[in-house]
Amino acid sequence: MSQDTTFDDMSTLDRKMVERLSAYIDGELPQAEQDELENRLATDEALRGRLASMRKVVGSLQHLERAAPPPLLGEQVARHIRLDERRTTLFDRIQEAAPLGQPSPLMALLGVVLALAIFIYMLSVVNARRQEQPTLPIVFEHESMIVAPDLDAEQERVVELMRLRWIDGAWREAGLGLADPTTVLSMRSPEAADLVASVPDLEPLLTFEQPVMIRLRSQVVRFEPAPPP
Amino acid sequence: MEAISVPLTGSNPDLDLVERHRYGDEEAFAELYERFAPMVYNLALRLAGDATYAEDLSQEVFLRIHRHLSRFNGRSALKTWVYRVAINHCRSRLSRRKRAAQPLWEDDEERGVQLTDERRDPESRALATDSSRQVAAALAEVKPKFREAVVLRDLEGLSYDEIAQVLGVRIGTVRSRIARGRDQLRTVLERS
Repeated sequence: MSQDTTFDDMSTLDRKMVERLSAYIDGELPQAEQDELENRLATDEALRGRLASMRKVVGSLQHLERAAPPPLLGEQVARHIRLDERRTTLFDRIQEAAPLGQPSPLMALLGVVLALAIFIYMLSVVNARRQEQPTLPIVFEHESMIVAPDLDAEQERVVELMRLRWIDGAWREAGLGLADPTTVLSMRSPEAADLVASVPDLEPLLTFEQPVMIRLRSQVVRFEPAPPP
Repeated sequence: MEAISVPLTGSNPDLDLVERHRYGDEEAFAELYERFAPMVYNLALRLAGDATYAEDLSQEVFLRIHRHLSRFNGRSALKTWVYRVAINHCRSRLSRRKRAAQPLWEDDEERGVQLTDERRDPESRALATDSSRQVAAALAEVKPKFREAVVLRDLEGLSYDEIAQVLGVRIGTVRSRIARGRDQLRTVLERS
């Protein structure tokens, strides 16, 4: 092992040897390893050289003078502790963990703009959702059709079977796609009469004055209202 | 006012100190500071390589110790626990530090760092100071994780077992890190 070789350039075997030399200097080598190393040192001059240079490094470190703590350090610590005990806000703790620095006017302005942008976006989302709602609210089917202009939680809970929404000029089953293939049935037609007769729950549809679209036996059906008498 | 009785063990001075702190005895923390300030400051100094920054780090370390001292449970020695807090804090701060460390050896005196060995004559002190600066400069070039191990061993005099506890690694890793750190230091010193 050459004395000039650095640790990174050494073979695994040599690295282990340097580790042993280092632990040997510290008196932290198990007895068996120590005996083995001393035997090798007796015959290997390069290894002895390596040991000597490592001892020199260790000696120079151990002679490095210790610095006395600055005289005011204790007072500064005491002051920080007093401040810390007064400090209770979460922001202070975060600021200490990850200092954000002094907020600049530009950063403050950016913050305001960002908050405003988020507010406007949220407002537009709420508006868009409102516009999706039918003017006349939701029609439910329970035991019979109920028009529920003032929907409340109780109705929401009891009414489950069918849900219609007023979308684009027709009552549609909630979730029914506009592109679904549709069968159009006039309320006056015999087919509509048969269908309504076979599903008594559909009877209230006859009273509707607007078209109604529902999914019935895997088929989307649009009932056209009967003309006023 | 009724005096509060602090339940002390009598056999474990570390735990007794912590218990007194827990019961609000301000003298307890003052004692802890006196005991560990040189150790914390020198550790910070050698890891940061900058006296001013070491002072800041030391303040922060003692603040953390003050906050968390009540959690010390005596499973390790208080000294080991303090070293662990100090090492973890310095490591975290130094890794975030943007600017390169201002090496201590360039301007110790301007920064008011007091080296403690006053017994030597002026000439040998000047020589020693030169040599110290050179070693400190070389130490700053050693990779941080190896430097930590070397500083704990050769400057602070901890055993391998204590270093393993402070760094939270196995003894084999400590042995390897110390050897690598010393070898890097040797390379830097020989080059300079």
